[in-house]
Amino acid sequence: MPLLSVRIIRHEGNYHVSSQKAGRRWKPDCLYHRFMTIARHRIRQILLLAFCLSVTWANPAVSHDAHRRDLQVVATDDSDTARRIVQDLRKKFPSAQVLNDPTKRKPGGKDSVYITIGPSALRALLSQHPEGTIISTFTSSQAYRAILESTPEKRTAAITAIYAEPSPLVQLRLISMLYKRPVETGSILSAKTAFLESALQRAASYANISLTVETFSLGDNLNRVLNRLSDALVILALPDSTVYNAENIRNILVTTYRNNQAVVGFSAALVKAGALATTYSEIEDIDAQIDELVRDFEASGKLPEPQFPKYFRTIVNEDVARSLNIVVDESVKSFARKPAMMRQP
Amino acid sequence: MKLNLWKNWSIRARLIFITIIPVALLFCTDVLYTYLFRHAEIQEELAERGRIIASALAESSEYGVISGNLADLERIARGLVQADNSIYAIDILKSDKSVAVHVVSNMPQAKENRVFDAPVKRQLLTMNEFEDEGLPHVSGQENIKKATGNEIAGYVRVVMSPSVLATKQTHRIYVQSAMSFLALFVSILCALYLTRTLHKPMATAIGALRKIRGGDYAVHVDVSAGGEIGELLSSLNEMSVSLEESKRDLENKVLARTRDLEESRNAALKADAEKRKLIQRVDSAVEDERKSIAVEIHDELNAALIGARLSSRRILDLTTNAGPGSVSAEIRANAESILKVSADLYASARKIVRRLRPEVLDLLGLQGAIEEMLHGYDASHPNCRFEIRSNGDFSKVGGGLPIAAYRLVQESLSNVVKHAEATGVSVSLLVDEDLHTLHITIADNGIGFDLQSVTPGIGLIGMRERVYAMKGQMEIKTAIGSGTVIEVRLPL
Repeated sequence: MPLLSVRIIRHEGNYHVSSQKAGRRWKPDCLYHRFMTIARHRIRQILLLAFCLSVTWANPAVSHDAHRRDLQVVATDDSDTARRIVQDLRKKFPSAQVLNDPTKRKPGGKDSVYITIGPSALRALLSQHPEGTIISTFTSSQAYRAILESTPEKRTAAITAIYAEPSPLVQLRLISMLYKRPVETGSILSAKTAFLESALQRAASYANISLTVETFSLGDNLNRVLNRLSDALVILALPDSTVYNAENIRNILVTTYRNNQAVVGFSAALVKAGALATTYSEIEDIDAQIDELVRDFEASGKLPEPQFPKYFRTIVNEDVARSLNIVVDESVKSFARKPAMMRQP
Repeated sequence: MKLNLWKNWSIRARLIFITIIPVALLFCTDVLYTYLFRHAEIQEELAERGRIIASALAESSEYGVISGNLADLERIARGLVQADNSIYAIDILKSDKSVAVHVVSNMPQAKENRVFDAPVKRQLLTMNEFEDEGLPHVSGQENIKKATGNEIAGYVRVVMSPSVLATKQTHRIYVQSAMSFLALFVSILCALYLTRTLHKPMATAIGALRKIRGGDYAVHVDVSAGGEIGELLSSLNEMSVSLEESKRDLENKVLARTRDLEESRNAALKADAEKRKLIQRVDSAVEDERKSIAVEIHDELNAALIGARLSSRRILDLTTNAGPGSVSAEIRANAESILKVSADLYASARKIVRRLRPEVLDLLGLQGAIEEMLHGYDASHPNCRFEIRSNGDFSKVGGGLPIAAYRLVQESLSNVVKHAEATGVSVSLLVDEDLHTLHITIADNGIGFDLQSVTPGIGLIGMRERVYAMKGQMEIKTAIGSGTVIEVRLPL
């Protein structure tokens, strides 16, 4: 990464690291002189950067507000979850503004970066047609897709997302770890999540798992759909309120249990309700990924594609496992990927 | 009305009563309560079971109703009907109340069957469904809440039959009654045994006490029981020994005292007899001396006085014949004085003789002598009238009896005149030949006296001694203001 300068700005008691891209060209001169100049310059830069990083590393609260762009966190609801997310993001982006009402936002330019928390925030922000980059967080893939359906394709280029639900690939890997072998897996998709089928199949292929996908439409008999998946040993549940909602979930769990099938859910809450296991991401995990994404975006100027959570943990319902005669190894329970900072002792 | 029926009960009856009554009451209460509340209990139990079965079945039928797995529901319902005889039928209805499952037992339809309905509610699990709107989507740890939705997927109808419960209840009553009766029987046996163990030593103790009451203090009972009864029997033995010793000591004391008393009595009797004998002798001697003095006075003094009177008369006659003169007159005066003095002395001597020895007794007998005495008193005491009544053959009154009777009447009249202030005195003399007794009654209408407080004088004591000396009896009846009656009975 070509850096011309790195500045340390002390602002409100916190140390902010700022870097600027080089905007000028090197002129050809004496090769040795040029080499030595560059070398000394680089050495000073590396030392200074090392110092800054050490300071930052030693104090996470003084961390990553090294973003030159106008960073704004959009949270339209006042739930405990939203407050926790905003609180955690403020630690990572102390200079970021928090918008509870997108209509009252300051007009920003193309350099503005909006981090939306939840689908409501994303929808509310899009309705204001802001310029700049939008990073959708804590929103499932199907909700993200549904919200962006009415957004012009040109605008979507500056929008990316970190989905809320676990990565299908990680989930399939978890299934393989639970059964210690690739097992027949089924999944139910509705029209809302049909777009995921190709991704699912790719992931299954990558994980060497046979995946059967059944479609479910409103008015269909869910039990019949489940019966069609009776050969599958595991049902991979994806966040889709058409299929998995408060009214159906109990029926799904009972039916699969009677069929001696395990449900690998998409949230820890679903596991507590009766699913076998899932990988999940805590708020801190998502926030770490946001931080990395912003940092990469600042660094590269390229907005990455929407992505599933990078960091995750695993939760297993021991009672369900015991009922299904599944012996869960410790390696399954510790199946996780954590941000580098959290890995420090 | 005060009930004292149990006052006369024996210890055995009381013990049996005390032991049996609580169990009997418990038995009766238990059976009566069970019988009376049988129907209510059946209904309560039926309702409770019906509600529980309907609720439980509704809870477990949710999946079957929603999934349409009716065969599974029918299997569950049939299993319940077979397992519980009190269930007559189970219907599982769809949300439109059409019958999805109908299971009936083999029991006949009863009129008292009760129906219990429970809705099959769709159970909801509140969870983050990652919808297009709403809260941020978080796959991490969040609390999940179980909630019951309002949507009803169907109904469970349980028809309960009370006949089986009634049969069970009846059987329960029989068993309970039998157990209570058995407890009652065992209690009776225990009561009888306890009674026997208590009654036997008590009977022994009572028998010993009866013997002791009868004077047989040499009682010994076997102390076979412990506790208070054993202590009672031991005490009885100790008491009998103590009583026996006390009795022996007392008898010895009584014997010694009796001996002393007999000796004292004999001495007193002897002294009394000697005293009476002495009194009698004294009286006899006094009477003899009086008689002797009277004879002497009559024979000697009176003869001399007669001679003096005759001499005085002769002197008087001689002076009369001698003519007048101073010397003659003086002689005549002296002669007349001597004549008068001798006449007075003679009269006094006669009175003394009469008092010393009432010769009237010899002349007139007892009856006449006492009449003469009363005439004398009547004459000398004009304020009081004296009268006499007599009956019987007084010739049989002899020996020392007439003088004793005379002296008794004489002393009584003397007391009346001195103290009674009476206006009338009656003396009664009666000779009872059948009883060989002389009855003398002296009654006056005087002021009377208190016999208890008045100390008897010498005269009264003399009368009593004179009566005792004659082996008679004397009784005094008097009160203040009521006069006095003295009754004397002297053996002939």
